[in-house]
Amino acid sequence: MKSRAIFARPRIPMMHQATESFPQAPPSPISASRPRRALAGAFYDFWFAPATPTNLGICRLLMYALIFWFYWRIDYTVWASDSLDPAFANHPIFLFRFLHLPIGPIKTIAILEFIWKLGLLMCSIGLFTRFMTKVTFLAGIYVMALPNNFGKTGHGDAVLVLAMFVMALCRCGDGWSIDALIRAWIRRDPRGSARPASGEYRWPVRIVWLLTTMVFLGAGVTKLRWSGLAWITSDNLSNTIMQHYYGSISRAPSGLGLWVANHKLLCKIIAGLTILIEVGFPLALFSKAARWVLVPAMFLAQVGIYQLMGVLFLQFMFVYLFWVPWDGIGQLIEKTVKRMRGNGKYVMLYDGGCGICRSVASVVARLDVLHRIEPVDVLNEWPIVARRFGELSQERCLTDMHVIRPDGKVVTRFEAYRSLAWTIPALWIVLPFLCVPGVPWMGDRVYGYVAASRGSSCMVGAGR
Amino acid sequence: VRRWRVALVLLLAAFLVGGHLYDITTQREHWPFSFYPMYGRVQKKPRLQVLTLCVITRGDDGKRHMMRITDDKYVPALGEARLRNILMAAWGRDGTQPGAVRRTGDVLRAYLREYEANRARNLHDGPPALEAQLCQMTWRVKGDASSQKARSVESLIGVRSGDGRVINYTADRSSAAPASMPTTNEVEGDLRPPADPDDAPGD
Repeated sequence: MKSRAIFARPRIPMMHQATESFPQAPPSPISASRPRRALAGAFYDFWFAPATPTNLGICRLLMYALIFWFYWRIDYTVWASDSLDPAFANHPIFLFRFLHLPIGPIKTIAILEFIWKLGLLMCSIGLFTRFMTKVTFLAGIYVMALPNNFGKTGHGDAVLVLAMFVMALCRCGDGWSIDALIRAWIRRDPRGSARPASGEYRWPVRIVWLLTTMVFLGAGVTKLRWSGLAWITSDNLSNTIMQHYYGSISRAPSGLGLWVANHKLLCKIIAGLTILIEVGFPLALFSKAARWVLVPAMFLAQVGIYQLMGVLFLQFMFVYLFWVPWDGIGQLIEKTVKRMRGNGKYVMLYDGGCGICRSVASVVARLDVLHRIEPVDVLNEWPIVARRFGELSQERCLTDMHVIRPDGKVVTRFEAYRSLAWTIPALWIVLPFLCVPGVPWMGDRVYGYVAASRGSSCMVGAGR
Repeated sequence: VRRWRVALVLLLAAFLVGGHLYDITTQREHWPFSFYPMYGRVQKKPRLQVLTLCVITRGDDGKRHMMRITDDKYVPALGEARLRNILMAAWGRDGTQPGAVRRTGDVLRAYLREYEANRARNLHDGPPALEAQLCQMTWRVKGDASSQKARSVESLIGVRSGDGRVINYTADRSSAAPASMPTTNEVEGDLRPPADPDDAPGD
């Protein structure tokens, strides 16, 4: 059961993995090679220490969903060659110059935009993920690059384009995706594990960390190169904040910026901290303690910029998703649920000789992220079932789906599925509908129809 | 992880780091790489100086009036901030680079066409434009955000509506006297969304 755990931490020794796969320096009798090997091992672990698909899967789901949410209302056809005067496209970016890309007509851009936005949705839910991440990146890089040819290069979405590039090269659809459920349906193995922990699920997250680091490092270094320490020691920040209250440049949400701008020393402290966080951000890559300080600090700094000056880095902030330890949060939720509801599990009895039943049980097991469901095969494991639940008959269990709730109550058919829905977070959204009067009656009829139409074609195994 | 995947990942990391480092070192942008120049220039003086688009109209009194374009309804497709960026890209730092006057003139001419076409289609209620100008506005900024009126409005270059002629006010300052006075009839946008970080005045 542990291997099926979606939130489970990898238990494979990291150094063992490192010595297996990473090209190592040949063993040397000189003791100085030991630190070098340790360094190489640590370097390998940084990128490829085994991780479950959870973190990457959740990052994929949320990142694409947020990009879709942010961009779906933006109409990119306004940038088309037949929408705007060519005089406005006076700032061709390197990508367009290098690849000789033209500013396309409305029709072309509309098609690419549709493909990109549909792709964002499909990547978010994880449907045909491997293919769609590539298509979405290719359509997205053109569409998102378009406005940058007009006047000025934007900086909010470039990091998202690069993050989409990373997603297109990795196996981000192995967890928390429709693809994973389809695989579970095909494998028909409710006890089978999800994808095992692998370095393939760690490096994409680390690459996005690296990207984020380069952005902040670049910003910090540029400030120092252009302005030196005067960026901190002069009235720079105070003046910059005040500028945003003039000339309709932006609209700060409150007068907080003016209050801060009037406290020159405070502005200098904030400016110093900003440079310190930006230039020191690479430490977050290697030190867990630095990560806990620098990442929230940078996030708060960007929220602060909005509060003080009305300048919002919203789409850029989506990359912070990759810094959240989603598997740790999952474990925390799991522990909390266990504490609140006890260790009791929902025992799901399924017909191990029926293909549909095994597929359904397999999908339910994959959706069981809180590990509250125990699938048991009533055909091949009947002695165990009989010992635990003596009042049940095998014939009835093979006819209808049975679930034994933690309180010992036995529910069957549609009611069994509805009780499972209470334990599966992905199904909580449909729970109110399942409780609407009439729906249980209808659900039971549908269940009966499907169960009755199970033919010999769905029989599997030699048990029957 | 297979060796070729390890090599691919390290190559990808090197590409992404290298791209950024190149831009940071050379201070040039190769989107999606960048050196992230937002707010990089130190603002030592308590003032705000922006290049902005203005339209010269004829008032009821028969005099020329300058209208600063801040409302997106006058720039429906692009938005005011983007058009300002386009004009800044065309004009450059001070309009002295080769082709700056021609490029800025082309943008202003294209804008005038759009302005008049949209006015004819009742897409905005602005008065007929006599001239579109790129102006430099300067504010003295104060801690209480008082005196929102610009301290100076300086016309840099204009394009006439009728004959499309380009007037370079920086070359012949004396010819710009009527239009380079501080505005008396500004149109200020009140419903602008939060600003794009790339529109920062410090850039």
